[in-house]
Amino acid sequence: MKLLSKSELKQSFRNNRGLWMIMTGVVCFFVVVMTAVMPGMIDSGGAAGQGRPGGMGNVTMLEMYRNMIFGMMGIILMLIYAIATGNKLVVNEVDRGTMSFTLNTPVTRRQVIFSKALFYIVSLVTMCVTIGLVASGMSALMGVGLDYGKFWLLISGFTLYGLAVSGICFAASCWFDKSGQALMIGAGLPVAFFVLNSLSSLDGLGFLKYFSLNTLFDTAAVVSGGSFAGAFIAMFAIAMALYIAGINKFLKKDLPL
Amino acid sequence: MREKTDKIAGTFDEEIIRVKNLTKDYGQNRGVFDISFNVKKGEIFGFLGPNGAGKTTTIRHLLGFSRPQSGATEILGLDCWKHPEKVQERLGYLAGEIAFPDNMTGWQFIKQIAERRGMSDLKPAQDLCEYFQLKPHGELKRMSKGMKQKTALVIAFMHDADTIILDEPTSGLDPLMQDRFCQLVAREKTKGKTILMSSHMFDEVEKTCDRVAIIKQGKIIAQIGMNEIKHNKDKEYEIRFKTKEQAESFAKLKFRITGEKFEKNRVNVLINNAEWDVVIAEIHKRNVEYMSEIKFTLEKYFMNYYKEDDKNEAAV
Repeated sequence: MKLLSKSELKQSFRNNRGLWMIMTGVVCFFVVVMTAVMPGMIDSGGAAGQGRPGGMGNVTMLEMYRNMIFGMMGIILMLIYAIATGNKLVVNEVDRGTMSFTLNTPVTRRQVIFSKALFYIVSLVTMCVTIGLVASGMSALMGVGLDYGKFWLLISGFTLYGLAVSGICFAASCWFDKSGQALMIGAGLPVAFFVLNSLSSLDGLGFLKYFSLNTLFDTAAVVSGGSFAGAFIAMFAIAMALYIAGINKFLKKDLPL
Repeated sequence: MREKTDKIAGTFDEEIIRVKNLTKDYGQNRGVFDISFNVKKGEIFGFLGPNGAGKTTTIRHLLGFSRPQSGATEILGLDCWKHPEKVQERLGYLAGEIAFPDNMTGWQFIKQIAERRGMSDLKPAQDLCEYFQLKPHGELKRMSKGMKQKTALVIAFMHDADTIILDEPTSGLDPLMQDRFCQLVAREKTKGKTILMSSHMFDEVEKTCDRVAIIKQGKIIAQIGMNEIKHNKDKEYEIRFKTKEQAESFAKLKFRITGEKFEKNRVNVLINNAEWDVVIAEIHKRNVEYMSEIKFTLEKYFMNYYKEDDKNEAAV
């Protein structure tokens, strides 16, 4: 049985490429500027402990990327993309009723939802890979010593985190019939996780990390060579489970079209 | 024309749309409850009822959007929930509430749906646009309600589906276009298409449909062929007598009196063709100022049903 619809994939691409380009573009622009400006301010080659006076201390390029992309900018912009796109892909079409046209063709529900899930996953992966390639290329160009192995591990974690978050958005989008309700969960949970994770770095609030998905993307462990594989596998499993749950629900539910 | 219609009516044998004991309870008396009806090949079937009566709920089941709680819906012998893709290949649909995607022109959208249906020839869509005087090259979101409705009608009819389901097809259309729509339905009927249309407009149902089901609070309370309405043997007349006494004495006779306004010397009476001799004899004994037939319309039939049903409910 055919699982995908070319026309549905094309349509998803056409509808969402704008936001993808903006979000990816902004992160990449940020990476380019940061990489171009930073070499004068950091220790290249990871010469830890020999920071220059007046500079950024013993911060390596990897640490810079870790804090700026995977700690802040990249995460936030990816969240915005994931939330907006997740909502637009499914529940928005159901809530507004535009999906009735799609389903009044030989394109099946199954093809519609698998195509949308595939587009969503591929768009997030390409977003992360693009950011990774731009950062790697720029670092090579500027001659800043970047630990590429660890950097791409961070990119992998970033991708898995993106997939887990998109799983939440996607499942909510498939589960609910109203955009507003889907957003409560699809946007509410990822944002709450982000906030809880930020708060958990404060004194006395460390316990909050146990309530946040973001804890699983432990950038510090990756950089310091600690254990992270379990967390990465957990993010992958969460993503899979949520996508499967969403697809299942969508295939079985009554559509108010 | 009637001869032609009746000829086609005579060929109604294969049941294309089947609704079998369909129940979907949304709670608080909303939904549909054990409804059944069939639409035969080449038949135009009207689905009549006020808002919230369950028309759209039934249609959602026929489109395979909803799973029946109990009972089943079938189109062309295929279960609509289990095999929607096979059903959809041969189905045209117009939704009751039309919503189009943003940032597209009407024509781009028509092309997109055509592509999904695997249509390579867009000539039928162009012809339909011309027929409805629709210029589809404008942005969908800037279109008026009527233009959107026309665009959706083009999409419902353009792939020459054997079965067409229309949920309130003429809403937003001006009278001229409503008329065009009725002509289109008549034309499709001659091609042997089976059409189910829901409506709360008696006029269009009366003009287009062969048979009508009346739905109220999720239950089908009547099904009637339009011929029964058009060729009803009981005809209602309004008779105005010279004096109040004459009207009163006429009303006391054993005729089926349907209404009276003695202060205006008026009596309404239902007369069967077989009763004419007696009626005329009685009228002859009195002085009549005028007598006029009150046309029996679908609307009247429908209203009677609703009133009777309400009375029954009150009695229960």
